[in-house]
Amino acid sequence: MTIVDIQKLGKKYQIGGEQKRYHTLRESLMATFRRSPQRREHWALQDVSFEVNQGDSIGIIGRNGAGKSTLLKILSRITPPTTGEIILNGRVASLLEVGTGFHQELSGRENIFLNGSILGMKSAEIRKRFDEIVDFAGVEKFIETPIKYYSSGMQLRLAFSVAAFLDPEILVIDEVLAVGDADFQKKCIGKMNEVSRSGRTLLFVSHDMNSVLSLCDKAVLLIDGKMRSMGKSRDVVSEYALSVSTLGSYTAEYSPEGAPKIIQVDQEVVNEEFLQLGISVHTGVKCKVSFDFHVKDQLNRVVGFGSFGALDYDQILNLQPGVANVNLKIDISQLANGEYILGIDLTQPNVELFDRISDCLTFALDRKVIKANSRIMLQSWGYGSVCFPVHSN
Amino acid sequence: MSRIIIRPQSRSNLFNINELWLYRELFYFISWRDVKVKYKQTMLGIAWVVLQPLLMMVIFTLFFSRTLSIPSDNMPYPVFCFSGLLFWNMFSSGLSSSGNSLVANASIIKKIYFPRLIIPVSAVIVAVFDFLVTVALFLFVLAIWSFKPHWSILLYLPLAFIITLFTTCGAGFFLSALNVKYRDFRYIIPFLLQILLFATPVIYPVSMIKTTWIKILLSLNPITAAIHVTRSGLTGTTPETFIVLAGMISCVIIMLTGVIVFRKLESIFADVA
Repeated sequence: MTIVDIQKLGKKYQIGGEQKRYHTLRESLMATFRRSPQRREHWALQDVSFEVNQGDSIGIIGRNGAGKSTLLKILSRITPPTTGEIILNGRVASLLEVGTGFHQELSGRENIFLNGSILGMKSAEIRKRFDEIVDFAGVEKFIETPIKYYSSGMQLRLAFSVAAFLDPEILVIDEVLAVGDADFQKKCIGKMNEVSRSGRTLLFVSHDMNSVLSLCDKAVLLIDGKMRSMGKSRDVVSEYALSVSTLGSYTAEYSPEGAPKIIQVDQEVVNEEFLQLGISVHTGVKCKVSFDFHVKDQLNRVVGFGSFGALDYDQILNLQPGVANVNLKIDISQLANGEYILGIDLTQPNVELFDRISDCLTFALDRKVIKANSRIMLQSWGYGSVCFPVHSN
Repeated sequence: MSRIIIRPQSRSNLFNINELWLYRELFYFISWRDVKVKYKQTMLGIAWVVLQPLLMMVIFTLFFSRTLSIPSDNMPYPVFCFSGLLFWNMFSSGLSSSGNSLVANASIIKKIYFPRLIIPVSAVIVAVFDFLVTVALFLFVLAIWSFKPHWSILLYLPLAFIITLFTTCGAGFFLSALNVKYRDFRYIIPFLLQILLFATPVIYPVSMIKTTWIKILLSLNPITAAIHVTRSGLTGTTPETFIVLAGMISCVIIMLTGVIVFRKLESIFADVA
């Protein structure tokens, strides 16, 4: 049965040179006498259509600015669409944030009722589950204390517990899991698994491909506001990874004074043995830096790590203000054939993280048979991405 | 099973009573939060509601009655002045808090859907709560000056209350919605209230105004009607039909304009709040 039916959904925003969060009366008055500055239209979402069946859990993925959050806001009725329509056959609860409406001056008990009702629970329902909520959050002792005296961890636990006891037919969730410690995140994933198993419908937006893979059986990929594909989450996630992978180089803006920043990365040579990079770093101050590399596979899982400077202090670079160019060679001979995404951290080892680029560039390995008797390992075989040399004694 | 259809600019009916009814519990909780939070961290708590009009009454009595000998419609001046302050305070505190309410609650508006009208109305509810406390205090003021009100006050007080409530809500909808779009209104509201205090017969009686056009202008203010009928009720005189009618008509106009403007801007709240 179709529980969510999205038809030709579109959302247009006006953007212009003078785009602002709010207007002043003077500007609006002036604008009636003056020709308004040229305004551009931006379609945050365009012609998106898909159906969700009851009990499905759907992951919505895409890069920043692909329209995920806009879709979520329209689904939660926070902002209306410009075109198209959505039919929802059931009670919707949306969780774009935990602890919406929490008030610092109110006690834990009062906030449970307030937050619960903001999320759409009936007060009878909250009363019935009150003890469970408090128990889940583990704040029994402080339930009459204003939450401004709570630690941020306690507030978060309380907020999540209220949300966890929501009982809608359709649950819409943003990346609320990004917050909190590992333990808490595990708890959240567990709860969400429970939701999707109990036959309720889950729409989940995330950057984290692993949680999409573990929670959702289907996924929707958005690129620049348009729907690229919908299907089994494994297939869509790998398509997403490849869509990111058209990047052959990376550039960034920088400010003259300020912390060290990676401003350019070029992929100079890739062959079956090594990847050679040209990296430009700008710094406004004298500093010591090292580079950490991580390599992710098509499903966005980290499969390899390398460092220049962090493990061997002799390699640390002393930078003077200005631009420094560094050429580095990464040994990738143990990687299986396939596509990879490279990320770089610029750090002073154990002291400070200056810059992090998680999807810096991508490279593909496509080895041909080297020797007559050996074969090439493919990533797609499912054995993993790193190929260890194995010898007999 | 409930069925929701999301369309571009779902222009539902003006008040959408059904939806408001569905969200009645949220309305209750938000109003309750606003009332509770208002007094939570103050040392004197609810005593402020009592102190503020009392002090204003004392000051106004000293200045306007003793010094300027302003007439007071055959009532002791403190009773006269307090009966005006009842509605003026409800209007002014209701308007200033509801005018800023949407901006103050931007974090909820951006994350959760609910009928947005709830927010400014709950802000007004706080003022209503204060009003009820002040009415109780008013009984003491009546007793102290041993003023025995005419029975018709029982009819006129609720009428005056309804006029003030609707006006405050209507103006609150209008200003809060515009405040989201133009932050200028944050500065306009206190200024507006300062001017309106003098354009409302709080410290002087309507009967003092002899110039016709000023009287017409004054009657366009629904709070004038509210205060006028209350004082007529206290003394047992008949209120002037013109003032009452003009006040009620402009009250309805303010309410409708407020709701229409609010509805028109509602869809952009989440994007610009």
